[in-house]
Amino acid sequence: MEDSQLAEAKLVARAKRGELRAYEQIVERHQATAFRVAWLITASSADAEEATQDAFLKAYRALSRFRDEAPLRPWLLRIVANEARNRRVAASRRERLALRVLEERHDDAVASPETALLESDTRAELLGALQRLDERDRLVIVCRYFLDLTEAETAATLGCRRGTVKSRLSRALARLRTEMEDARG
Amino acid sequence: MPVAELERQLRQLGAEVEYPPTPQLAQSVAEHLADEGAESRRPRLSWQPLSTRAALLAVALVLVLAGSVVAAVPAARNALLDLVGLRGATVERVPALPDDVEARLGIGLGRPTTLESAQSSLAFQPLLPAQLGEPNGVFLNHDPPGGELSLVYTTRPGLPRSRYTGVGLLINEINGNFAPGFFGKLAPRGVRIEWLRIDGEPAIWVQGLHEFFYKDATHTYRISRTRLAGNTLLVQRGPIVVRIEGRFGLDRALAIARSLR
Repeated sequence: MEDSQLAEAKLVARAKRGELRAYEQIVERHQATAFRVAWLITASSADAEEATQDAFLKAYRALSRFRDEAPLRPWLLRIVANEARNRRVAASRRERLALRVLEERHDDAVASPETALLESDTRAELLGALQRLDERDRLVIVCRYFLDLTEAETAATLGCRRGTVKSRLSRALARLRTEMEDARG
Repeated sequence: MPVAELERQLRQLGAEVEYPPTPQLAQSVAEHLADEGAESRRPRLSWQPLSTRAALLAVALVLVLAGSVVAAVPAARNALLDLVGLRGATVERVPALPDDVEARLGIGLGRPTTLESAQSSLAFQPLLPAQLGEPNGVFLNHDPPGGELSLVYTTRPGLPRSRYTGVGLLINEINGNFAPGFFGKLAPRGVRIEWLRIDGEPAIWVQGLHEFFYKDATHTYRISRTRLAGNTLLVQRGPIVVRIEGRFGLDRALAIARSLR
């Protein structure tokens, strides 16, 4: 086991004994990736923050069920992604709220991953193609290439099996390529 | 474009994404968990805890009086660990919360009204926290005999927003003589329960996530009348049972209880 994994295992053990300071350190370690995953799913900073916080609270309450030998990050990301998806689904049920969120996103300089990218022709082309993909394809690509998640972490985030990630990614890349070629005419 | 080149470009794009700043969640998560009683913190206070004998007597008395109530609460029927009641409230220890309980803002508050209007409908003289001024919202519920008054105070320093009430402070008042056991609580493992005396009268402090429910005249447990609740102080003031709920600790709850006039 690597040093960082060992250190994390110790933190988990202390958090399981009820040491909040240890859990605080776990949150510090994972909050950036967790928040980005939530943001990519909800496309809203406010929703992502709430989803991430609630996910960390749920994870603490469920910590006794976490297997000590398992890696922590995929387990955490699964909870974060579920929270984020629940918020997105709840928002889309309310048309008025969705409209407000949409206006908010237009005003927000970093409202989506795509609009936050630096401008360039090639990037714009790639960005356009990414935007035209359906969410399932887009998410598997951003998990692997933007967030640099492992297959196990991506599977946890997408709520699918690890073996499915490879095939889904392969199909998503093929569709992305087709989108780019179609755009070029 | 070959796949390898596409992957390279995607990685480059990924490195240039400007994400929104990551919020600092570690401290707020730890504070939230501490509020819920995840870590036992016993503040030094001036109140006197009930003696063990008095607490046991209270448990025995309330068990006799509230037997029918316990029988009507499925989650508590087989797992009752202890139960202590003020005149208008019961707190029951259970192994875990029911799965279907949710946070529901505003449940049971009744109709919005004014203090003047509420006073004429209530069978008791309302108590107000002297230091907080006029409440931001007043609600009247006619369900319990004698009526229930709810006072709402918005978020302010010392009264952070509670995710279970949506406000800084929620105070509920009923006449416990008329509505025995109207407020109910199911407190799962890990929730801290303290039996106290405040100015000679009994009180219960429940720290941590628990289930709060209203009982109707038939003492039937209905999921539609339950919600998740955070830290709560139940205080007996003469015939009135006051319920003080918010995202704050016992010190603050006691200060509010003592300022009730």
